[in-house]
Amino acid sequence: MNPDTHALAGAYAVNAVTEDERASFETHLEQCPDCRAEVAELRAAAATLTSDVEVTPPPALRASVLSAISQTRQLSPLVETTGTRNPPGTPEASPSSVAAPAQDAPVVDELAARRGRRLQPWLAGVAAAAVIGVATLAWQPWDDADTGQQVTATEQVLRAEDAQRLEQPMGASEIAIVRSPSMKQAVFVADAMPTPPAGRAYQLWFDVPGLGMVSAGMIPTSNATVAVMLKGDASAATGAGITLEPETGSEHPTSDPVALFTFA
Amino acid sequence: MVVMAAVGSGDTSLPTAAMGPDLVALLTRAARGDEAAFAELYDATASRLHGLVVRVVRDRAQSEEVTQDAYLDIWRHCTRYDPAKGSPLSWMMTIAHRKAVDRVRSAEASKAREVTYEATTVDREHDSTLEQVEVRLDQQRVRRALASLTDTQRGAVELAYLGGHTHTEVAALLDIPLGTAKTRIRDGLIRLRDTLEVTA
Repeated sequence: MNPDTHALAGAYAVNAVTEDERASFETHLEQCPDCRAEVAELRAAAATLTSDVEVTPPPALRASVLSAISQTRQLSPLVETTGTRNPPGTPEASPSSVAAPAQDAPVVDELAARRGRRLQPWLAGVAAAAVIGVATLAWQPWDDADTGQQVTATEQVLRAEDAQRLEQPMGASEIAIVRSPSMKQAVFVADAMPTPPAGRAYQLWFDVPGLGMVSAGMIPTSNATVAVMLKGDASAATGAGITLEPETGSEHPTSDPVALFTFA
Repeated sequence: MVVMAAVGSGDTSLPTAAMGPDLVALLTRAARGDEAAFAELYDATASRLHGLVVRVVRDRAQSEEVTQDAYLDIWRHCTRYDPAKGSPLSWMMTIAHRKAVDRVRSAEASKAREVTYEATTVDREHDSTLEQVEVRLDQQRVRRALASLTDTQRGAVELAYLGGHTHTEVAALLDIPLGTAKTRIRDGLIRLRDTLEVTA
């Protein structure tokens, strides 16, 4: 293990990292049980720093919180074959329900509505698109970097000076596209995306003026953190989207987007 | 900072809510949609979480928004609470801290305000003026733990955790190399962990 990577555990535990450092360290965490344990312990230790500070919030805040939760859907639990992350309760939601991410995010109704409004031109563009085979994946586990100084291609994009990060919730998952215009590349980062239905997978698309939605590759199905290089010229695209497609990928989107990103 | 001016008289109860309601049980019920259980969870933890948020954000109105936001996140995510990631309180404090840090950073970004380093002594003055802060602590224990940190470790940990600065900013504030700030934060937290014998 690269000692430099380990050393970030403390800063990460207290949120003293940038978003890009967070993304790359979380990818590391997936592979490093030692760091996961250390982060949990250091967070507990940090929490004691304010163990003597108690500020009772005004009663109105309590009422407001309780009113808000009664209108807020809870996320579906993560259902994993490994069984290492069982939640304390196992709500009755069926595993397949996690495939409906739009329902998972009632607090972003406005955002969902905006996505819906964007949907029509999006699909219209798709019809005109002359596209493109199944893209290859450029998914690099961070451990590759441990053996030497080389920085993976995805890491280079995440660290690029002009990297722009667009985030949004998708179900319980935070998903993001980090795009570097100068490198003409973009990386998709997510943790614990909702599991797609059997036989299906998430596919990435670039929204390219004049071409419509162009396949940018498949997202590997994983409960863990994924970082995927989008295939294609990110500087030519004005946005990106994600759809559920057959595992082998589609030439053009065959379902409504589960997420849309608009590049600045 | 943690060393408060006011002293709770003779209250030696543990600062965590460990002796209170069973947070794991409440979280489990809340994860099944039990709003009453969530209300109990709120009652058992709100002053700790809000205390942390106020400590980082400072502004009262903004702190209340952040605390509410944190509890909403806790409600949404409690179905996915993973004991391996920490005790319920530690997990909830982590969420609240993240929200608080996000708030101060976005506020900072929008104001693009000049970063002027205020020494930690300023923090201490500020603390003594937080009249609404109730002090209820195992002060000896926390003092002892903090005393086990070197001054440089404590400064780095406090700037990061309570100041909401990134390790890069901490390095700039303390005028130390980047890697050094990272190391001091980690070493300080490890020392704190080992002295307090906290478990995740």
